[in-house]
Amino acid sequence: MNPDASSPFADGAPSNSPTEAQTQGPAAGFLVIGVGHSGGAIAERIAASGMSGAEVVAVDTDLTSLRLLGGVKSVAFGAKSARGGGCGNDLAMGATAAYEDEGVWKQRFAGVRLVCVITGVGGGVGGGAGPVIARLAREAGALVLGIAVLPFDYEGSLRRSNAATGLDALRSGADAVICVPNQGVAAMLDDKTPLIEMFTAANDLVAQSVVSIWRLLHRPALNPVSFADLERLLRGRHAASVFAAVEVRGATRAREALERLQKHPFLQAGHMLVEADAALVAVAGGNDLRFDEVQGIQNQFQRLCEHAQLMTGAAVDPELEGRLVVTVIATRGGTVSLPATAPTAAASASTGASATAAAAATVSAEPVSDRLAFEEGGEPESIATGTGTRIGPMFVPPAPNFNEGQKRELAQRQIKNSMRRKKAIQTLFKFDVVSVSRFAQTEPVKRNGENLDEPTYARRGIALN
Amino acid sequence: MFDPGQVIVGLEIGTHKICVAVGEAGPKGELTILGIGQCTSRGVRKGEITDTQKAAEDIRTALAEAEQQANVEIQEVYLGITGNHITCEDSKGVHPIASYDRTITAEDMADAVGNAKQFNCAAGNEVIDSVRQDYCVDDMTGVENPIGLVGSVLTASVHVIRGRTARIETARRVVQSMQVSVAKPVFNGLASALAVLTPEQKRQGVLLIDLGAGATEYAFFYGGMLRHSGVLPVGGDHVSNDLACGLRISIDQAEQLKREIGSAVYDAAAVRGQYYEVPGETGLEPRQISLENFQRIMSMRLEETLELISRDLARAETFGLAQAGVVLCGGGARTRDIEKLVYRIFSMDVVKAHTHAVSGPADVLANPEFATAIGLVRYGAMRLQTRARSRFGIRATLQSLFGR
Ligand SMILES: Nc1nc2c(ncn2[C@@H]2O[C@H](COP(=O)(O)OP(=O)(O)OP(=O)(O)O)[C@@H](O)[C@H]2O)c(=O)[nH]1
Ligand SMILES: Nc1ncnc2c1ncn2[C@@H]1O[C@H](COP(=O)(O)OP(=O)(O)O)[C@@H](O)[C@H]1O
Ligand SMILES: [Mg+2]
Ligand SMILES: [Mg+2]
Repeated sequence: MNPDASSPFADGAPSNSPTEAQTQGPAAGFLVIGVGHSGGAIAERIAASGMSGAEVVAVDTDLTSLRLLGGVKSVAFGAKSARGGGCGNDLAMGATAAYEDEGVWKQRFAGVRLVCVITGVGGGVGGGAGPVIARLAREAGALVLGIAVLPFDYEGSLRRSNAATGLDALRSGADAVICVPNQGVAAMLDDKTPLIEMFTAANDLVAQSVVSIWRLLHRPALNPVSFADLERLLRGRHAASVFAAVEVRGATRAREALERLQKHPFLQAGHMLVEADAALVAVAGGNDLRFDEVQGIQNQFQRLCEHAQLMTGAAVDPELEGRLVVTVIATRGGTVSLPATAPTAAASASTGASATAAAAATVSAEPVSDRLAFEEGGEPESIATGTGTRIGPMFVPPAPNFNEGQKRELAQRQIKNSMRRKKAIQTLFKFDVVSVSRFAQTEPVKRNGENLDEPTYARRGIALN
Repeated sequence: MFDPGQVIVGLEIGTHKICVAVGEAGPKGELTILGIGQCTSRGVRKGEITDTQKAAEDIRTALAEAEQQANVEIQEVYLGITGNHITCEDSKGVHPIASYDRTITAEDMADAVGNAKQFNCAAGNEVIDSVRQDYCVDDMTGVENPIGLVGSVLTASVHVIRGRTARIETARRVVQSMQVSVAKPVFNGLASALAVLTPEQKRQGVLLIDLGAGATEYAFFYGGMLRHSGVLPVGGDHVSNDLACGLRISIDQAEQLKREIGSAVYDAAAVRGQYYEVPGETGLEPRQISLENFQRIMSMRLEETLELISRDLARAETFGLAQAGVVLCGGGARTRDIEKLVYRIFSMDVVKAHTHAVSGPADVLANPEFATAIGLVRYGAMRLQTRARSRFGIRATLQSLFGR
């Protein structure tokens, strides 16, 4: 909490030398931060897809979770509050953990132009710390794009209500928030898909979209899209912003790209396009990108987004030779159709209605500050405050060298564990009285996927003693 | 202006009770409640009729009681409507000003409002009520009275309350089967607001919540206008049902306990480790139920209900500006400590409703359950008044009732 405390990075990260930071180059005005387990997993995918120039980092209080990641810089924080563990559904704890290192975050964000905070808002770290990190980045002068991963339906109402709270907080912390519903991915895949693959698929979809936005902003374009455009599109409307990107090869790639976008889970089967009141459609390809492809796609979107004010972009990137990438960001006025359950008293400071975004700096491509330069794929770096009592390990042992199989097993075990916990709570009330008896003959009252005729305490997973 | 002694009747087919209010509008438009008829409701769930036969019997009983008390013969009623099928939303109606000099006329206003009502109306739905908010002339927003202004496009902003035609028709037929006609269906939330809110409150910004048995209706006013309204088909019945499930007691027992020892807030310290004895059902031993569980179940449901409403209200831009607080009516307003819970969720002053500017037996006017039925009478009175006025050539629509 004390910004004057000797910088933990000074002693905690020998790799973080200024010279190395300078080598990051001028393109690196973009920092991607994955918060919590879900954010970290997505950051890992983004790093793997090679966003050269931009910086990608995974942050978490949970050291075990960070160690599972490979190929992405990872940083641990909140050692005092979380003691190296997760925040287990406790948003307040996540927020405290993030504030614990407030000074450090601010230092790191200084001079960064665009920060993309990716976070699973249903998690303790994701929903608690993510919004705080977004807010700190914005306070440091960056334009902050929040990407909120929303829980699967099966995760239950506690997660959902946490996600609603976390999302509200993120909306007030970031300049713009885009929602990524995990359940949308589930709808796209077969029910029998292993859980782990479901997560991977979701992560890849998000990664693809983030990379494509970054490409949009940083690659020289024929018909460029600027930060200002992005800002205009998203600012204040993040309540119902969605994004999607597809990459297609082959002769019929333009048509295929359109088809895939219309079925894209993040666009709600094309509904979002029809209902959008503003949309950005950007087409990127290699030197072989043809005029009729760009024109065809843009025309099609003019028709699909019938009510929308449409912004278009086109870029040629030699790296994309043979491929066609279409990125869509669509926004709609009104409120987000999200879990409307009670925020817990422990929720972080934000209130439900405070979804307003504050002003943000317009971004231009200037050299990035040297403060936030992360080494690729190192061990988790601790950012616990320098002096005073330090609970939890300061130096984290290097990540054990897991092979793919081991990693998978470990991840699966984690998921199983969390499911077991959930089950244990739920078995406490198997009531034999029919729970909706009084309303048996009536149309159920559904709100946000919950049947409100069922007792609240049962849906909340409260055990009666 | 007004035929003296005009009798107006409001009928609320509630989930808990059927309520008929008979009122008389005096020569200056003042209202007196002459009588109330009530009957426990058996054919209604979550605000909608599920058993027409039982509903018809109960309505007949209530009508008969009201007729007797007021000593009138009821021929026509204003019918309260609520339920899951109701949608309340703001709608914008655009109307190009076609006239040669581009001066906006009353007809233009009516056309813009008409367009707003039709906009987005799904098949099988109909407009129950529509309340004008304000106008926008070209890009000038927030215009209250655009007549005489010059512009090319007039946009009316209207709060439209719609319902499923079939459901409204069901209620209407049941009433008609008793040789009583329906003057107009009215949204319950609006009716309750008419009964208990003062013009001053509506100007300052006030939220009305009607906590019924099957549904909770709400209406938010600011600057003298209706800004937002809605129904959540969750109410006191849900509280009782939750208690019955969680404590394994009968619904009737739950209902009774709720009234006797229920509270809207969970005070852990006060009830820790305490038990309450409930008589066993026929031939069984009396049982001890945990007060801790009892309070948690009850407060959780009420909190969830209010929380859902608060989230919906966040859509109304002016909600944060309200100064007159929250007014509670409906049977649920009798719940102990409900004000505390409402205060915690809305952070606004909370009062229990009292019917205003109506005369009649004091116990009737102070009864929070009667707000809807009395409000329906008032709605009728205001409609007649507007009609009388329009006979003098002033074009006034019902919407103006809720304006200013
Ligand atoms: N798309 C995607 N979502 C994930 C993944 N892992 C978790 N989630 C979702 O993210 C939400 C938050 O969970 P975590 O990220 O594990 O939680 P956390 O932020 O680490 O916080 P803790 O509660 O302290 O563990 C959950 O609702 C999950 O649905 C992942 O790998 N991919
Ligand atoms: N003292 C009380 N404490 C708690 N709830 C009460 C009390 N008195 C009445 N209620 C509840 O109020 C509801 C009835 O309210 P009412 O406005 O008459 O409903 P409706 O209009 O749907 O028929 C019932 O659910 C009843 O349990
Ligand atoms: Mg975690
Ligand atoms: Mg009622």
